[in-house]
Amino acid sequence: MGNARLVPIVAPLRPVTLLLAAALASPPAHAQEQSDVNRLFATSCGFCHQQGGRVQGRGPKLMGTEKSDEDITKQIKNGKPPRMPAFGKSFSDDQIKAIVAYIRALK
Amino acid sequence: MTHIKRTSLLAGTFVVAALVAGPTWSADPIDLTKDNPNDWLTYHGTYKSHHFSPLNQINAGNIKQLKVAWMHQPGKSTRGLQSMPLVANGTLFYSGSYSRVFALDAATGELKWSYIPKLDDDLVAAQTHSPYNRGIAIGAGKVYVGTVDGRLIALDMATGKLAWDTKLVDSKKLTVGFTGAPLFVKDKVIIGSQGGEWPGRGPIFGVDAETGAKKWEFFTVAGTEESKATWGGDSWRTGGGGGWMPGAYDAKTNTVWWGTGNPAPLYDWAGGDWKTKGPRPGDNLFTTSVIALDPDTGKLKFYHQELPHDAWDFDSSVGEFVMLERGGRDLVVHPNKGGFIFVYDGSNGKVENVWRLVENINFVKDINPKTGELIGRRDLAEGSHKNLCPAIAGGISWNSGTYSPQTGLYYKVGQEWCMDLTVVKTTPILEPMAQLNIGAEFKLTAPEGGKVSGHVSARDPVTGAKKWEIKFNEPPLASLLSTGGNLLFVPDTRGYLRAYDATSGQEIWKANNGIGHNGGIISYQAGGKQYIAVMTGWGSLVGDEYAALFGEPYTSMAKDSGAIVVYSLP
Repeated sequence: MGNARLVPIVAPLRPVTLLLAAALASPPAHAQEQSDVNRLFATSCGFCHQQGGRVQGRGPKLMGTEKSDEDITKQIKNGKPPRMPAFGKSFSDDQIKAIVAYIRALK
Repeated sequence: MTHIKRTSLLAGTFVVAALVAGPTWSADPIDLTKDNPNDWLTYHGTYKSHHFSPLNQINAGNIKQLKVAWMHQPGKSTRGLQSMPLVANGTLFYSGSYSRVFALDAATGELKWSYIPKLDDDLVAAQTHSPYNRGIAIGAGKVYVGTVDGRLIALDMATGKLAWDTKLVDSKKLTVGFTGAPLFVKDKVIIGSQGGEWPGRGPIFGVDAETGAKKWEFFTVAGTEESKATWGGDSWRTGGGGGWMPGAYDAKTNTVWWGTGNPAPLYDWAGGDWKTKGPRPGDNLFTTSVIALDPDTGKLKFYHQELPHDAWDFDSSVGEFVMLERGGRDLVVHPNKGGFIFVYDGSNGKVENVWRLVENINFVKDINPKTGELIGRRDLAEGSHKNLCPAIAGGISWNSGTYSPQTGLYYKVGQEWCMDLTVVKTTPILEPMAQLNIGAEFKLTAPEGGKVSGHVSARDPVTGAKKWEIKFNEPPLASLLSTGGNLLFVPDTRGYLRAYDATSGQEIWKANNGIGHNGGIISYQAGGKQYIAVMTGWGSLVGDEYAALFGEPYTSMAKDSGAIVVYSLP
C-alpha cells in the first residue's frame, strides 16, 4: 500500500517557512497547517466553489452569501451530504473562522 | 433476500466443469473470449471495447414501435445511475450508487436478488468523488463491485450471497477508493483506484477471483524503480494517478490495457520550468499514460505516456480501448481527456496516429501523429491565465463512445469549453486524511467567440476523418451504443434517449426518460427478444457544472434519482 502513514515535516506556522517549503517540492502538510485561505481554496475548496468562491460552478457562489456565520461554520464542519464533504475532522475552528472571514470579504 | 432462481444452464455446466481439468472455481458458462451476441458480459461490451451489440431485431424499419418494456428504480441514486449494466444468460446485473447491486430477470425486470453493502458513512461524507458507482464485472460464477471505502466485493451470481469482501485501499487515510467497474480476466479481477487530484499513488490491483486474495498491485505513480526518477524529490509519494475506469484485455497476447489518471497538483506553478522546478518536476510516470500489464503478475509490459508532465488534468484513465484490425494489423484506439484520440500498435503500444476530436484545444499546439510528442505545450506558471482549452471538464469525459464493425465508424462525444484560471502554489494535505490538491482557482468559460457545446461525430477510428457530426447545445454525458440493426443510441443530458441511423446520422427516434443520462447503455437478448437498457439519473461531477453554464432544466434537475429503463418492440 502507498504512503498512508507519512508524517509531515513542516515547521510551525510562519509565512516565510511556508513560502520556502512551497518553493521546493513541498513536503505534505496537515490540513490544519494551511493558514492561507487563498491557498486552501486553490488546494481543495475551489474544485467546486470556483474562481475563489466568486461564481457558481459545481458548487454555489459564496460571495455575498446570505447564510449566517453559524450556518456557514456548520456546513463546513458537517458538509452537505452527499454534495459537499464534511471538513470538521480536517480543519480547526480557527481555520474555519478564517474561511468565513474570507467569504465575507469576497469581492 | 428474494426468491432464488438457479438457471439450468448453470447447473448443467457445473457437472461438466467438475470433470474437466482447469481452475478450481465452480461452474462458469461465461467465456469472455468468445462471441456472446445475446449478452453483455463486461463493462465495454466485450474485451474489444466496441460498445456494440450485433443484435438487429430492432432496426430503422421498426424502431418507431419501441416502447418501455420494464424499469427498475433502486432508490438512493445519489448522483444518478452512472453504471453499465451487464447481462448473462437472461439475468441483468447492475450496480447503483453506494455500490448497491441488483440482479433482475432481463425480460421482465423482476428482482432475483439484491445486495446492499455496508459502507463507512463517515468516510463517504468526507468524499467528493462519491458515492456513485460505474459498474461491475462478472465471471467465475460471481459478480464483483468496488466500493468508495476501498473494498472489492464478490457476490454469488445466482444467489447474491457474499463470497468475499477484500479491503484493498486505506480509504480512511487516502479519502478515495473505487468508483470504476472492475475487469474480469481469466482467474483474476482487476480494478483501479481513484487518484488524480487526490495525493496518493493510485494503485491498480489484481485479485484472485475465487478467494479475494490480492495477487498483485501496480502503482500508477512510480510503479517501477526507474520511474521514481521522473518525480523530483519525494513528489511521487503524493503523485495522484489512479486507474479509475476499466480497461480491456487482449487474449491473443495476454495483455491488459489500462488508462491512468493525471498527477497532483493538477496545475503546476513552475510553468515552463517543470523539468527541474515546481511541485512535481519530471515526466511523472506513469500518470496520464496507457499501460499494458501482464494480468498474471501485474508487471508492466509496455506503456505510452499520452501527456508527459500533464499540467492540465487530462487523464488517460477516461475512455475505452477500441481493438480493431486494419490491413492485417491489430490496432488499439484510445481517447485522452484533452480531446486527442491516440491510435496504438496493439502488439507494443507504439503510436500509429493521433487525431483531434474537438476544435477548442490550446493546451498544446499539436501532438505529433507519428510519435505522440507534444508540440508547443502551454505551461501555466503561477498567476492568471485566460482561455485554456479544453476546460478541466475535458474535451471528452469518462463516458464511452462506440465502434460499429458494420459501418467501420467510431462514434464519440466531444466537448467544447474552456476556462480561466489562476495557478497558485499549494501543498499536498495528507493529515488527518488526504485532501484534493488542485493547484489553481478556475472558472469554466465559453471558447473565445463561441459557445459551450458538444457533439457526437462519426469518425474513421484510425485516421479521424469525420463522416458527419450531430451538434448538441449541452455535451451528452452518457455512454453511446451502436447495434447490428444499424442504429446509434445517444442518451442526452436533457432526458432524451435518441436513436440515429448509424450510416447517415439521421435522427429517427427519441423518447423522454424524464431526467438526464450520465451512465451506461447496452443491448441484449432474452426470451427471443432484443432489449435496449439505459441508465437514467443526473448529478455527475461534470454534470454539476451544467446549472451554472446552461440554467434550466439543470437548475431543477434531481440529483438523487435514477432508474434503469429498458425498451423493446411490442
